[in-house]
Amino acid sequence: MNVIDVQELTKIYNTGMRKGGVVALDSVSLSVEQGEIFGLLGPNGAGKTTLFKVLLNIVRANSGSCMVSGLPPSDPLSRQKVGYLPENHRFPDHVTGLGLLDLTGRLCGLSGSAIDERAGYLLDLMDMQKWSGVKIRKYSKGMLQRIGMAQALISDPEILLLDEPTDGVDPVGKIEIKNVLKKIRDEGKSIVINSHLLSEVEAVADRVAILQKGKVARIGTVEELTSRKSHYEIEADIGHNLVDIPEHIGKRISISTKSMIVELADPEKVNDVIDLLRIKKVSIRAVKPMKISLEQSFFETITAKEESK
Amino acid sequence: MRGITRDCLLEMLDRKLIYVFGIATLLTILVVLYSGTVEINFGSGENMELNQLSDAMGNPIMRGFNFYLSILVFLAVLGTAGLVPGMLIRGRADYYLSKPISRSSLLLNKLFGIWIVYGATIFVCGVITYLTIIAVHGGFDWAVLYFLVFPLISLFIWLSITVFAGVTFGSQPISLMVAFSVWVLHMLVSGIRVFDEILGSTIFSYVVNVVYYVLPKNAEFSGMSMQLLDGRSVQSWMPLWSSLLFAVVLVYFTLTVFKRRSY
Repeated sequence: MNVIDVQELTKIYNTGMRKGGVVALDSVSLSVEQGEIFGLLGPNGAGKTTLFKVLLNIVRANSGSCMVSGLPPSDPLSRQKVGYLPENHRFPDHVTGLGLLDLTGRLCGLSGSAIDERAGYLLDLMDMQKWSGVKIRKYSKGMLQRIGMAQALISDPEILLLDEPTDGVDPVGKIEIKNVLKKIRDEGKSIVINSHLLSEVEAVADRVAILQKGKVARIGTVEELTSRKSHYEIEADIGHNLVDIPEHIGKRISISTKSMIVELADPEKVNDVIDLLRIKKVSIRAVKPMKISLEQSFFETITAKEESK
Repeated sequence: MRGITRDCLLEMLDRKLIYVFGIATLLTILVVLYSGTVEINFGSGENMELNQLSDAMGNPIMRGFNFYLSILVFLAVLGTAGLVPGMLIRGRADYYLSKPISRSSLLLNKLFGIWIVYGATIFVCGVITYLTIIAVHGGFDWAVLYFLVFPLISLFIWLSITVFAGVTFGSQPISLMVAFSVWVLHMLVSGIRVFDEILGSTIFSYVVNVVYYVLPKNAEFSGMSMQLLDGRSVQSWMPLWSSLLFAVVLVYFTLTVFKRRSY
């Protein structure tokens, strides 16, 4: 079941006197399923934050449609089950950490007792208990992120939209947040993360969309985005055998006595390579499709799009 | 009110505005206490006490009380003009607008939250000051409630203007400038109307009258409350209802602008 459904969404920001404006989202279509962690990647200005804002009715789209929990963003009830951590947030700073959770809970329509119970749990979860009575304006960046996460979770939301959740958080805090996200996902909740830290997204996300200049450049599971179907690593006792790959099959990228990496013209041709090795009496231990990091996949997607223009 | 009224109170306390109201009230109380000892010598050897002067001059104590309440309203307008623009700055607007509450409810809650918190402060300060006046000069009159209610109405009207400007321009200075401009324009138009017949231009007269009837007429509330205190009937309630109508229409426009805007 899709908890977020975006169809052909376009948002153009007017820029005063300039005609046409800036295209922040250009016919974006994607969906987020219940219980998955969805990563939203893209360079600065790709439209990631704008997409969040459209989903929350903070920004109005020019065309297209989107549904959150089966409701259009214009319906306040669509935000009933959504928790949001904005990027560059400036929470009301006249309140304490506990005060922010109280205000957020009340804005979400929670009762006083429900807020007390939930706030205590979240302050413990985000390790903010001892700072809960301190005014927010005295918080460090990392503490603001932690209390920001807590306020996003106060209503026990079904969908969590996190814009750079680990920005400014120390390494220990990053691991804690990562664990919290996995815990929330395991509870069957959906999380959409917008982050520049690709390794973090790779570690937690089930599916990823790469946005570039307002368009979805690539979308798929982390596995799909990081695997290279035409590249294989073959672990084998090659020894000093000179294995030449015919051009119609592909080419050899590297070779050692224990393994070789090949780039194939067609993923099916991997069987031909295996046959070649067997003819030469080479003992094969493993054939693995090559994987690249999400960071590399992201970089290749972005540069490929740039070059195609 | 979803905690917004409580938030407005916390914001006022955090910004220490409560002290400003406290100091203004304390100073007024000191003046009231001092006024109990005032005797006016007219040079003919006869002394006149303030109570006698009061009868002669049309209740200067209550006029002063009215002025003091106007100052409190003025302070409240100054102190609250930045609250709505502050709520809508980048990063904070995202926080408020992402909650499951309609924009209309959010803004109305904020407007009435500010009004309740600052109105209650003005009311309490007014009651304390009036009790001091009674203790010093005596003569309690329930009609004083008019003095306490009119500033609350006046505050609501000013808030409708600053909230409108705050949502439209997103700037505290502009909110204050707009409120000040409305006040100056009203005073100007009221003044010109006096000379209306002398000027003799029909078109000019028409424009001046339209502007006069459209703009809020808060400055005329004090005259109305004095008439009520003196037991006279109010000559015309038009300044009150037309000002309230102005505020209601402005709030409606503000909501329309707020609902359409992207942040």
